Amino acid sequence: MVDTYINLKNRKNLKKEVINNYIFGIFFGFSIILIFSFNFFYNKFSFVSLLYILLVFYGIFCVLLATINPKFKILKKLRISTTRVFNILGICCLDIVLLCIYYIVVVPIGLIFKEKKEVTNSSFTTFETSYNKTLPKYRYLKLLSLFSKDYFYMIPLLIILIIISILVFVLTSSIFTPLIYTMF
Amino acid sequence: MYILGISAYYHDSAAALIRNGEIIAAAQEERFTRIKGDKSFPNHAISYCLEEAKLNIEDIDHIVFYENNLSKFQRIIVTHHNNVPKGIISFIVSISKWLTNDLWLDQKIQKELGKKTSKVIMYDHHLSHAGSAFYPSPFSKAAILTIDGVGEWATTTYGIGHNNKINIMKCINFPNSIGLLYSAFTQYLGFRINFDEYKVMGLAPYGKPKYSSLIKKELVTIYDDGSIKLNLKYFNYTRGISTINKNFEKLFGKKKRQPDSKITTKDMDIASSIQDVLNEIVLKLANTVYDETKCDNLVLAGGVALNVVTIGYLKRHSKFKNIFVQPASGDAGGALGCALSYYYDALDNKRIVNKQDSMKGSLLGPSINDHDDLIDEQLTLMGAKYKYYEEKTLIKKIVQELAKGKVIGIARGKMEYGPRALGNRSIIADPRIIDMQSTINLKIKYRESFRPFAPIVLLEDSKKYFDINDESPYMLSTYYIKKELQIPIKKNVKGLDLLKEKKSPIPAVTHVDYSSRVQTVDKYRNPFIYNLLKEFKSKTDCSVLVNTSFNVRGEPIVCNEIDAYNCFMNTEMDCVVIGNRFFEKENNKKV
Ligand SMILES: [Fe+2]
Repeated sequence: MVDTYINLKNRKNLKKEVINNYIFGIFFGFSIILIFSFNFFYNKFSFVSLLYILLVFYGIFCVLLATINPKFKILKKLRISTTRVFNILGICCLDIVLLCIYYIVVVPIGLIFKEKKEVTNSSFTTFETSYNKTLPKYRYLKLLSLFSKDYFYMIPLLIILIIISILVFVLTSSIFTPLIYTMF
Repeated sequence: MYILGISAYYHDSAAALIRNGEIIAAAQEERFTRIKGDKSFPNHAISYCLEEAKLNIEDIDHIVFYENNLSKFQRIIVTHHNNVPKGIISFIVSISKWLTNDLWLDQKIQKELGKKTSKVIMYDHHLSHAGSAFYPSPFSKAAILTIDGVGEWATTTYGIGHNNKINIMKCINFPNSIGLLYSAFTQYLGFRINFDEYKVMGLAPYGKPKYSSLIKKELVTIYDDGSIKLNLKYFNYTRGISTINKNFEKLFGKKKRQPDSKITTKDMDIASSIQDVLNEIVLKLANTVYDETKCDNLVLAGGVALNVVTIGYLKRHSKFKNIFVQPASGDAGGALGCALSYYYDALDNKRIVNKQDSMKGSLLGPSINDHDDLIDEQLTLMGAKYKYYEEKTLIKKIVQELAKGKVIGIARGKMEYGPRALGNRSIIADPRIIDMQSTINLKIKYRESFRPFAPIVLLEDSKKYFDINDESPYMLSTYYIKKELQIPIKKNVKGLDLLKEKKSPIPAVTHVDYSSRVQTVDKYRNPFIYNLLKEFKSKTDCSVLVNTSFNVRGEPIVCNEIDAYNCFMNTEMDCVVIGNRFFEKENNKKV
């Protein structure tokens, strides 16, 4: 064995980071240059235009850093803080969507189907393992079949959550996240 | 066949590696990252496990995670439906966390490990606990009881293990949870949930169980079979971030204790009451399990199994003849449990029972070697001055210093898996000295503690000091000091001052109710400590030593030579043994 798992992993992560920095600098930089210079020329000059100019310069700065050396620490910092800002925005949007779902779907269904409290002399139930080989292979089908037995009335909610989760997955898993957000 | 078990992302991450059912290595991530209760992905622990077996991650045949994220997701959604219209905030917080993160947990783990590894298997939380208790136990057939806060749905399960198969018969499901009930009191008494449960337990002997009937009347219904039902009016964990709510505080007529504020008699009484209720619940449960399984052996795991007082109570009052508790009963032990369960139960492999138990003394972590040139170089660079001794002379030297009343850190051999230091990462001292408890606490741990330390005692002499009928190699149960050794306490002493009284010939390890968290030492599991105790006995006629974990307040137990040396330098410890090196404070002064 040449190297330990953790060292190999750290090295791999460093490499990945540099690539991410580069992609961030170039793509994010160019896209905000394009979008905000377009906005600047298209709209009438006002106080907001100053903001556009600033953002364009920020884009140029990112592109420059990435082309000179993607290992710059400041580029990494910019990438992390930018993605953080977008993440917070994203989570806020998600929270608003979830708030609506809660009152439109969860509350009515919950009120109708609430599990009744029975008087018993024991709270033991039969154990069902969650490690089950017979469940379907795919995550979403697995989830649906988990609910299908006792909690079929939650399936509409589940489908909505699954759609959102796919959206979230596409948005957060790609390195183009910042780009997609700027498109919005 | 190699199987890697992982537990992570909740509290106290860990990794464990087994080869054809034999435990090769297991360690908690906190020891490497030096963050107490670290819950991040256990990269360091995995790296250590692989190094120990000289493997690459691609060589592992199966990778098992200790919990099933989808079932947990189901529980969260169902709970929120049952709570409407309350619980909006908790819904948003938890569901957004699930949608952005936990739903893809298996993929996330796979990504951490790399693409070329085998697929991650999501096992079952309580089956993992059950496996961690049963498969390493010395029994071919045993009843199994697991109790914790909550896994996927289950909070308590019982069943039976026979050879390589585990059959869980019944369970109590969320929101009725014995672990969460105890945690609620941990929070109410001003301690941290998941960290400080042991403090509630340590506080209990000072008080009287005045509130037991109130707890049983208002908070929890205990059925005859030991199953419970919580009155959710007083708890908040199904719909909020906190565990208890205002009704809970109203019930006891006072706000929850602020951390670091003075502990009142009432706090002590409340701690005593919840401990009393817990004992009652667990005993009833155990008796049900006995009646259902008709088995003389019981194995336990899950966070509640770390409550040594309850285990001691079970040993004295339950119908079971033999009780084995997994030393790493908390969720860190899930890493080992899921690997073992998958190997035996899911893959149906043959099991060979080890008469002693297969935990190898729980010494499964990274080793501190007697000699290591690289480490020597590093220590010298740090300005350390030490002497090498052969093992025999080293033991003599240690005993000489102990007899002078000195406090000595020992960091030698393999690190313990689980929350207890069992002699390889321990601080030891003479238990006969009356103020040893406060000396160690103030000079080394930098805290004032109301708990005595744990004793280590020679197995063959344990009966001389304690009411003990079995061995206790993992310090998982309390025993009482023998009647004839107990010294009555003066009547006018009250509260925390009780601890400073001389209650037995070994006061530093005797609690105010004369109980003690005994660890028995035998020559198979830990020969070095065994020989050390023998030498101490021959010199002083006392075969007991104080054993407390080698760390300072707020830090995890030391892992390697450097951690141990740093801890030694940053405290007022008198001497430290690292491998076969002996360090004295006089020669190692801070510049
Ligand atoms: Fe657990």
